[in-house]
Amino acid sequence: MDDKSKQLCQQIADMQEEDAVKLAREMLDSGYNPVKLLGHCREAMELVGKRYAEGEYFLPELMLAGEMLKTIGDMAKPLITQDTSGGKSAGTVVLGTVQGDLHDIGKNIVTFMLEINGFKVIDLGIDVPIANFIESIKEHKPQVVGLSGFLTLAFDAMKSTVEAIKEAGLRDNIRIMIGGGQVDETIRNYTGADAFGLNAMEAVSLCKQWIPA
Amino acid sequence: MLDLNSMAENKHNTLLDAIVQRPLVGDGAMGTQLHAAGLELGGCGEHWNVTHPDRVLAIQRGYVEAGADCLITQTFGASSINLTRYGLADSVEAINRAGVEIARRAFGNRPGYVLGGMGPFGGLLKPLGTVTAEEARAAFGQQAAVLVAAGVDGIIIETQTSLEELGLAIEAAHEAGAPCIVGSVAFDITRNGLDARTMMGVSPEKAAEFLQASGAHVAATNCGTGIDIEWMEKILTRYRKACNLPLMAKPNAGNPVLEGGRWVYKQSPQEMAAGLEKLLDAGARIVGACCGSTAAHIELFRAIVDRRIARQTYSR
Repeated sequence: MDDKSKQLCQQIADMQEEDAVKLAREMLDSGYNPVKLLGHCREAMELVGKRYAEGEYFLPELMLAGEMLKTIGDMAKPLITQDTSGGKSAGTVVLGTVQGDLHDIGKNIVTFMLEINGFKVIDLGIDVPIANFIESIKEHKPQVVGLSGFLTLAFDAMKSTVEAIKEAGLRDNIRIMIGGGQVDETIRNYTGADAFGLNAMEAVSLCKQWIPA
Repeated sequence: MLDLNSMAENKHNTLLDAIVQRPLVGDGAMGTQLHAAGLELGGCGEHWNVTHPDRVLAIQRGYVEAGADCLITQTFGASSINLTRYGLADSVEAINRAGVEIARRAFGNRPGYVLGGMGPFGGLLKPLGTVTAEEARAAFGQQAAVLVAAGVDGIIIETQTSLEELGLAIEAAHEAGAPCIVGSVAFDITRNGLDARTMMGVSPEKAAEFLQASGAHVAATNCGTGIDIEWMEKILTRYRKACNLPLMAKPNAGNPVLEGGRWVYKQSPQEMAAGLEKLLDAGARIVGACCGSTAAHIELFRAIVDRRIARQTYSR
């Protein structure tokens, strides 16, 4: 990686928003390959994710880094020509907070992080009836379904939603991840989901793992 | 115009005077108790102040009978921003007023303090979220004004994770003329299991310093993820080093575990007892309990606090 790219990575990872956006602008103006530049941004994001997982960063840093990525992405995308972009999304994820639970902070962060990582996210909102998940899966044919819930009581709704997806004959083609509250392997097993995530970065990792580029 | 301070003094000492003299016992859980009383998943618990006041009263009366000195009104999510999600934005005044009336009725003729409960508005402030500081301040201001006008002895701003939101709520409580303001922060265990921070990254020291600087009267901690009563003692010890406000703690009854398809908080009153002694040693002047606790927990807390008062081991 050249010096400027290294500097950009560092600035994003260190939350120097103004400097990072300015440097990205300069690099793009001087003809730097926009696809390569976005690649560096993703590398920086991985560093941010690592610091988050290690307890050095918290929600504000995660979201600020996401904002930077979005701003730089908006600058770079118009410069990407058809033949270099590929242009397709990394995959489709249907996401929602299960019926009976109105917590939306965690779900919104997962939506945001998936989107900046190139996934198409169908966000069904909060307190989502089981039928809405089924309809959306039929319509959008996602590879992954994410069920969010914060209340301990929401785990029952997750279980019912997974069962309904199975009954509708849609289970075989999708992977289901859960998250939001204090989830673990016991809860995953209880709900019948394929995996659980403790934070938005883990949701992104799961989707990347399940939907190979 | 009612002079709320003198009203409170006529009845008994103000809450702040009382906690200097002796530690007070707070109440136990409300949310998990409402669900046990039949609140459907996704239902608006605060609306029960108007639709099922008898059920809310029964829970709070249970805490009074167990020996609670302080009750928190059942108004955690009764700001206009929260109630809008249920189409109840017009009911802010009715729900909060009823919440105070129910808590007063629960005390009956017994002396007791009513703290108006204000929880987070349930989103993130701009630029991370969609709610502006002005919108949050207005919602907290409206709620605080109703609670104070209905005669609370103080306001507790609970389960806060962001200092900015906490600051707006404290400001609103001040403007409403709350006689006592308790700021209560919810911490989570960090990923390495070694530290406690809020989801926004706030340390106990930062929270305590902020509470003191913002003019809160009591520095509190409640709820949290992975935080048991032993962790709360560590948090209070860190609060004590960072500020000189009176302290309060409301720990969960342990961490929830899955049992027969249901989620239960399993820590018994006896299991929390040793931790409670340590909380009091760490300087807690109000001790209550959060998720999963019941009147039985408060009853034992009462006995422990009474033993302490009898021993008169208090230096403050």
